[in-house]
Amino acid sequence: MQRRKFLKQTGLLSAVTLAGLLTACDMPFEYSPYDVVVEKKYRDLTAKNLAKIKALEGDKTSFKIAFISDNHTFYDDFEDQIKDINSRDDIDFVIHGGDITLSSLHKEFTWFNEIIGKLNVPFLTVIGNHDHLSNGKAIYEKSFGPTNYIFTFRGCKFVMFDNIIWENKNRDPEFDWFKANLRNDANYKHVIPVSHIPPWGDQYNYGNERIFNLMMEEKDIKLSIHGHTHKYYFDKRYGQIDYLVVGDTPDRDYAVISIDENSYSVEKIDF
Amino acid sequence: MIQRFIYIVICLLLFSSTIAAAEKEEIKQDSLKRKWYLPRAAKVQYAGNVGFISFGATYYLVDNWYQLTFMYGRADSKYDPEIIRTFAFKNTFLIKQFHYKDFIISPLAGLSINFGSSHNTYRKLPGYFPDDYYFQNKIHFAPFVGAMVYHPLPFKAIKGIDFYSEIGTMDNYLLEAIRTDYVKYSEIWNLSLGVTLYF
Repeated sequence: MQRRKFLKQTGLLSAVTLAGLLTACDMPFEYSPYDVVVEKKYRDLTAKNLAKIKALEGDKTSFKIAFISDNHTFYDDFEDQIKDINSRDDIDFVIHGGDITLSSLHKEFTWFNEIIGKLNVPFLTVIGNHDHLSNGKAIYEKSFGPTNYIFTFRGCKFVMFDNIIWENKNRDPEFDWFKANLRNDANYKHVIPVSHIPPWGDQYNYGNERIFNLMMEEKDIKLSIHGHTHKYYFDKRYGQIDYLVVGDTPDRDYAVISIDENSYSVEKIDF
Repeated sequence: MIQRFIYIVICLLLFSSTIAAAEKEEIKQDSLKRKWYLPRAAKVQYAGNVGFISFGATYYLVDNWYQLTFMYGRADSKYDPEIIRTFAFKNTFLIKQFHYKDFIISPLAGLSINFGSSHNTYRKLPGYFPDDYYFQNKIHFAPFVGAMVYHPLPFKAIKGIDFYSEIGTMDNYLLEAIRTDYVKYSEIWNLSLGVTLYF
C-alpha cells in the first residue's frame, strides 16, 4: 500500500514537473560544447552559396569581391562589417579567410552563421587554425563542406585551400591537391588561391614556405589571398606575386578586390 | 604551470574534504558502518554538457547542503567517429529544503568543473606549438541552478530517490554574453534532467 502510494505521488509529481519544464521553456539540451551539431539551415553552405554564385554569372566579365577574415568571437565588430558590406551595391560575393570561431564550439559556428547569413550576397569560406580546434573540422565540414575545394566565377578560378598544420596533428597541408588545382586547366583569366595562413606565417616551416612559393611561380600565380596574421598587408613579398592579407575584424577593415579580364586591383576599406 | 598548480590544489582540497566529511559522517553514523569511499548517492543525468547520458557518484561534503558528484558522460556523434567524453566534478549546493508530506523540495545551485575530450582539446599543448599559443580548451567551468524533488523509499539498499532539473551555462558562453552585445544572456542556457538514488 505504502509502495503504491509512493509510486502514485512520485509519478504524478515528476510528470507535472517534466511537463512544466519541457513546455514552459524552449531551452535546448546540450550534450557537449564540442558536439558536432549544426542546424539544418546552416548545413552544406558552400554548395548552397556556390549555387547562388552560379546564378549570378551572367554575361559580365568583371566582378568585385569583399575579402574578410579572422572574426573569431568579435561579434559586434563582425555585425558592423557585414552591415558595411551590405551598404554597398557593387559587391558580387564575399570570401572569408578563416578563423570564423575562437574555440570551435558549436555555438560559435552558429553565431558566425547567424551574422554572416545577414549578407545580401553569397559568401564562401576557408577553414582557419582556430576552426580546427576541438571537433571544429567535423563541424566545419557539416556546416560548409570539404575544407579543400575549387570554384569558378566569370572566367576566374579560385582554389580554396586548407593549409592548417599544427591543429591538423602537425601534418603538412595537401600540397599535391593544391598543386594539381593551381593549374590553369581551362584558359582561365586568373587563378587565385585562398588559404588561411600566408607562406611566411608561423605554422609554415622553411620547407613548406619554399614548396608553396615554387608552386606559385611554376603555375604563374599573380595574387594569393590570406588571413591569420591579424594585420593588413598587400605587397610583393617574394618575386612578382601579390600577397593580400586582411586584418582581424576588430581592425575594422576589409579588402575589395576588383577583377576584370586582364587585371585586378585591391582597395582597403575601413568601416 | 600556475594553472596546473591551481588544478592540483583544487583537486586535493576536494579530495581531502571528501575524506574528512566522509570520516566525520562515519563516526556520526557508526551504526551504518559506511566506508568513507562509498558514495552516498548515484546520479544518472541527461544532457547538461556532461554527455548525452552521464553517471555520477555523489559524496556529502556538508550534510544537507553541499554535495560533490564525480560524473562521467559520453556523447557519441554519428557524424564523427570520435566520442566526446566528459568527466566532471559537480559541486551542488542545496539552497533550502521545503518539506511537503513525504517530499522534500529543494532549490539548488552549483558549479561543475568539466574536463572534456575531443579531437583537439588540450590542457597542455603538444610540443610543436609555441608556448601559450592557445589557452587550454579542455576544462570548462559550468555554473547551474535548478531544483530537485526527493522522496524516501522503503527499501534497505536504496533509501530515497530524487528527480532534478538544472539550467546551466558554460564559461565560454558566459564570457561572450558579458563581452559582446550580440550574444544575449537568454541564449546561453541549456537544460538537464536527472535522477538520484540515495543509499
